[in-house]
Amino acid sequence: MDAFGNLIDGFGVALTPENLLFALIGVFLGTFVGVLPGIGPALTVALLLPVTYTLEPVSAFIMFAGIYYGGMYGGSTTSILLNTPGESASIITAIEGNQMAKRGRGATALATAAIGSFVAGTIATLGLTLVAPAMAEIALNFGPWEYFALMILAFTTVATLLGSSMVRGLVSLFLGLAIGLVGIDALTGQPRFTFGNQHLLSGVDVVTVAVGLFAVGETFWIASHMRRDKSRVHKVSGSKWMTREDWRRSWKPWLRGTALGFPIGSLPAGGAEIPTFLSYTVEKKLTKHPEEFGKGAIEGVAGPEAANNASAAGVLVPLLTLGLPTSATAAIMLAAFQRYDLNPGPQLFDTNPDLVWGLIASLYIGNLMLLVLNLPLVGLWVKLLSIPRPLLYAGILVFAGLGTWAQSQSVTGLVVLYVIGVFGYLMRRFDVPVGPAVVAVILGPKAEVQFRRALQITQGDYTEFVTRPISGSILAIALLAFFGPVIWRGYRSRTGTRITTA
Amino acid sequence: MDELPKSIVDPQSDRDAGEQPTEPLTPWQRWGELLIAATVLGLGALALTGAQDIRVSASAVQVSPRLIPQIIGVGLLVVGGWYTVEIIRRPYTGHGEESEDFDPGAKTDWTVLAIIAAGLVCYAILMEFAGFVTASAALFFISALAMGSRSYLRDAAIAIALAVAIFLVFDTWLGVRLPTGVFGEWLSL
Repeated sequence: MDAFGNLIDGFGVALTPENLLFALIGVFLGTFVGVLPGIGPALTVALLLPVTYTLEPVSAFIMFAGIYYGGMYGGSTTSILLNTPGESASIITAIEGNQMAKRGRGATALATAAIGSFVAGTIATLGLTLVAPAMAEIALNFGPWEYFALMILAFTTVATLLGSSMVRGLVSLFLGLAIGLVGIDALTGQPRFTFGNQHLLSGVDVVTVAVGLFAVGETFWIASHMRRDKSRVHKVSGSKWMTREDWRRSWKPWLRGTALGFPIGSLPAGGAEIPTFLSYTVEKKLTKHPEEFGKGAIEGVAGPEAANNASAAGVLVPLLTLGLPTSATAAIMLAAFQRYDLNPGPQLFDTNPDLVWGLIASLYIGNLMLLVLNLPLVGLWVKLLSIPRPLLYAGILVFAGLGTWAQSQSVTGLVVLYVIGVFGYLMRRFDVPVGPAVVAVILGPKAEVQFRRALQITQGDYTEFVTRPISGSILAIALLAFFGPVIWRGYRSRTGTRITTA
Repeated sequence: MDELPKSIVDPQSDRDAGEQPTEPLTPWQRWGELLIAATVLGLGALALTGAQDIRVSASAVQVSPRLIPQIIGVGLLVVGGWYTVEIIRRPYTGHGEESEDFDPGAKTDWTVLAIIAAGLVCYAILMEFAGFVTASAALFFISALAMGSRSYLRDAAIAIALAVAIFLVFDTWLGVRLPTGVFGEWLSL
């Protein structure tokens, strides 16, 4: 098969001693930073981006793949032992996993999460290997209409499916779109919304936005409500790895989580959150131990963790084949590609097969490395959790500044970072999700280019967006995703009132 | 400007006061969220007025470069307005998720935030003038102090060690250029 031939070539690239070393450094750094409380996968990737700036593209992305998966593993350790989910996809793991840790089963929770992540990550990477080339093949026929429609679909789903309310998701989305306007108009080359500041000509970088919202905003948030009594890290020692019974109860949730995570993650619509929530609901329904749910049920860790990792691999399908990021982490990965003047999309598979297949091959390798790294070394990672919080968050601020400076080389960049950080704080305070803003910053300008290109081809005829079958149907789905929840809620509340009045 | 939202908010909260067992909103709870909505509305106005400054070329073949900023501007106004209505009808009253680091019962500690903000301003000023190492060490020390760390010597030592280590790894080893400031001469050896 073609995909496997390419994959073998990819392993040829990834298995050179140098690239193996980069993969190892990547997974190590990814886990290290991902374990730190308050730092989720998106921020891990953003903060570690400068490390890859001076590497060759292939090596950089092999390291990047390691950082991506490592950040996911590290995040689940923090969720289980400290109940600080770095991002919404880890909330479920935090619920059941932290309960297990409180009951002295921390090591078991970590083990089922790590092995589940390995199983799910490997199966989902296999899925990526098979689906991505086929998807790229289809995408070769896409014109600007289809790309624009896909981006609109990504916008609507990312904004409406996340967070507590639709309007808050849209607020976040439009803040991101507004930030994305700053810079040079891609088609006419003139500056806009730069306020005469030459440092704003290149626009506001998505890394600055992500670091501002996730690192600076989060630090403000925690610092202003810091717990004064001693942090309580649950001990791992003393409890056993998985028993036979634990294995028996874990393997099906792992597979079910994968089956939910990969397909949903690979849709060109947003989110790792939905599969993890779905997996939790499914496991709660199917379990023979319903009384344990909410008090540390192993299925409630195994399933969602697997779903989370499987969807992380799934997200790479639209990212690599369409250039479409559907999560904050993917948005930062796209920024990394753009730094090397690489445009993810169907052409990337033809122009840079070394890079694409080297990256995919190193996902398999990184996954295996992470399993080996995580099970025996977990004691080392747990030590990181007891870093005094003032020092930890002070360090996060320093690294946030470093990341922004490395990107912008200007005080303007730092000012932008702080303003966005203040906003991150406000959004955190009032439960406005930050993910949609991060995705919109990088995807907004891309959508604009496709929109205007499409209209140039049709000489201003808008109907083409709707009459072309693929773009028309995608737009219809986007419309449904937008109005569906509203209609559903309206219907439910109407039937709800009918029941109460009857 | 201040009178309009107040007159809408107040009767509402008076009416609900009898039914809601929860404590009344603090001024911060009420105005903080409206601040987000006001910014969204302000950005919408900015996008619409700023769009007028974009030059439109004479050739009619191109789509006006003003179009997308205008669409986003209108979108910001609509979403901002919707959000304002939502806040007035159903203000967010949560206090955040409890975690091991985060105390949802604690009142917002503005002093901590003010000191950290001062540290960040320091950082931005020191960066070009005194270099990355000085700026980072100062930021680390000030913000650790703000968050309640009282081991001054240890913190100062960690601050300097961390800043120097980052500089050596990123600038000297990885080639990501960082400002050297006064340390330029002996760090670049």
